[in-house]
Amino acid sequence: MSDLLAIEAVHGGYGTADILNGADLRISGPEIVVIIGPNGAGKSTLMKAVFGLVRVRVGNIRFNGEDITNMRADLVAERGLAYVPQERNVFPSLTVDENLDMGAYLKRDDGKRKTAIYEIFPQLRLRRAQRAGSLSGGERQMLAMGRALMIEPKLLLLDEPTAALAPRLVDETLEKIVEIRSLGIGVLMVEQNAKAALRRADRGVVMVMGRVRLEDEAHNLLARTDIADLFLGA
Amino acid sequence: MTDFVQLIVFGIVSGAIFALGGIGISVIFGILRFAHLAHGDMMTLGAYLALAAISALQLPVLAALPLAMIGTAATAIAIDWLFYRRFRRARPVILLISSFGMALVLRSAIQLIWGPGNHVYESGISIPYVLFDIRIKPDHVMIVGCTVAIIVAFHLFLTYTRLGKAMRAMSDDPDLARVSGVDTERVVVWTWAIGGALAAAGGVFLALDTQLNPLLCWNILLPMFAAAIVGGIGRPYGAIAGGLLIGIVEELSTAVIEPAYKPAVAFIIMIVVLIWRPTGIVRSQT
Repeated sequence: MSDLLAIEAVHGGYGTADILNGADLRISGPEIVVIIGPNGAGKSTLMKAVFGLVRVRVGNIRFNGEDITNMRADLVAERGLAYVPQERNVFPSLTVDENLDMGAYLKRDDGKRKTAIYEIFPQLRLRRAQRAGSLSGGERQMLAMGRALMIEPKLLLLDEPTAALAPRLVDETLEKIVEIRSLGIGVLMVEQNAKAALRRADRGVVMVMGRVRLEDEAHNLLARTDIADLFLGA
Repeated sequence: MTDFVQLIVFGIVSGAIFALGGIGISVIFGILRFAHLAHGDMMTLGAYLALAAISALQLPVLAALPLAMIGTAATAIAIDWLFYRRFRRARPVILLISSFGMALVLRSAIQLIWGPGNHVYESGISIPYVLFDIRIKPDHVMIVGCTVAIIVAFHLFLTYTRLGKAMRAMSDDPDLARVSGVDTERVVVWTWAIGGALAAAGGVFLALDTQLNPLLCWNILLPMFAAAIVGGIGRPYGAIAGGLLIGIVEELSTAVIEPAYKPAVAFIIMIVVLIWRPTGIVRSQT
């Protein structure tokens, strides 16, 4: 199977400082891949690099075989990639409905997609006329994912989707991500709740110092005591 | 009491003009993140383009207004394409100083084409309407009526069109707008078009109320910026509220202080409002 996303020997970062030092990663279809690693490993930077928000100095990124290295973010989105940043992931002054409309900016929606999103995240329907800035953390996360799904992506990039969520919402959010995969959408996510995420993932990768140091099936990573001690907590 | 109401009427007229300029300043700041110091001169250009249309085509002011708005919008887009576009990634202070340079360019161009003297759209005396001893000039009715129509159209654009929502989204977070697929350069072009068109309307209305000269709207740049800041910079609805507040209070202040101190009143309002609400009248949602 050809790769959906191929990140090859990517170096890059902010200004003159490289955060990514030869990062490699491949995603081949509708699978959930979790990136784990210590703070400063370059996990979020890698996602931004895919979307052209961080300059790639060396290496290349291909999506569906097409080179998207340093491509404008709106053109990357046009090709079927969606991204949910960790923070500032909704438009606070827009209503829930309008946030979803922004997700449909590239492909106009006749209402069917929005209805489907409200079926996945029913609590958003109740708040459709409310400004996103007044939503709770969990609702914002749902809205951010909903906005990204309005693009009808082939691959969804999620940066710490459960960060700052109450424990009861972590499992709910991760289950939604499994539901998203069942729609045929690949998911690449950075996640601090690594154990909970790996339990639902197909594969996991460990990033350290801007490189992917280890890659394996999720259940294999969960079984490794060295990985558990370093990255998975108690 | 009559004098008080009369001053409020004058304040609403000034406030309408400040609001039209303030919306442009606020929208440009919200999307491009810099204070556009050439906005006053862009308004003056609009006023002179209307004069050109009135002189050349013998049009009434109301008919010349849309032509001036289109001409100024096109000029604003051209200025961005030729000039500001090259500074997109520059620090805001570079753009601020560049816009001051553009203000001088526009003013010099106006002086070269139309000369440094005063002009009027129509000469003669206009008989005011009298309502409960309050005198209202027909021009003032037109200014306020047109401003309300323009603001309603602008509100409908921002609320119901795809592009209007994209402008609000980009003002909230440009990177998130980009990753959502918004072509931000297209939004920038429309921002200049709308900012330019509203600036022209404000310039024409001020010229209608006073006289045209090359410093026409440079002189009201500070109250317009105060209106945008008081309303919550980057929030166009705030600029409308800020414009009206500053216009009305400035006029009311003339009952107790010399009219020459009116610009200082704008700053006092700005300081008081920012102490009360540091993010401006229209609070940002975070």
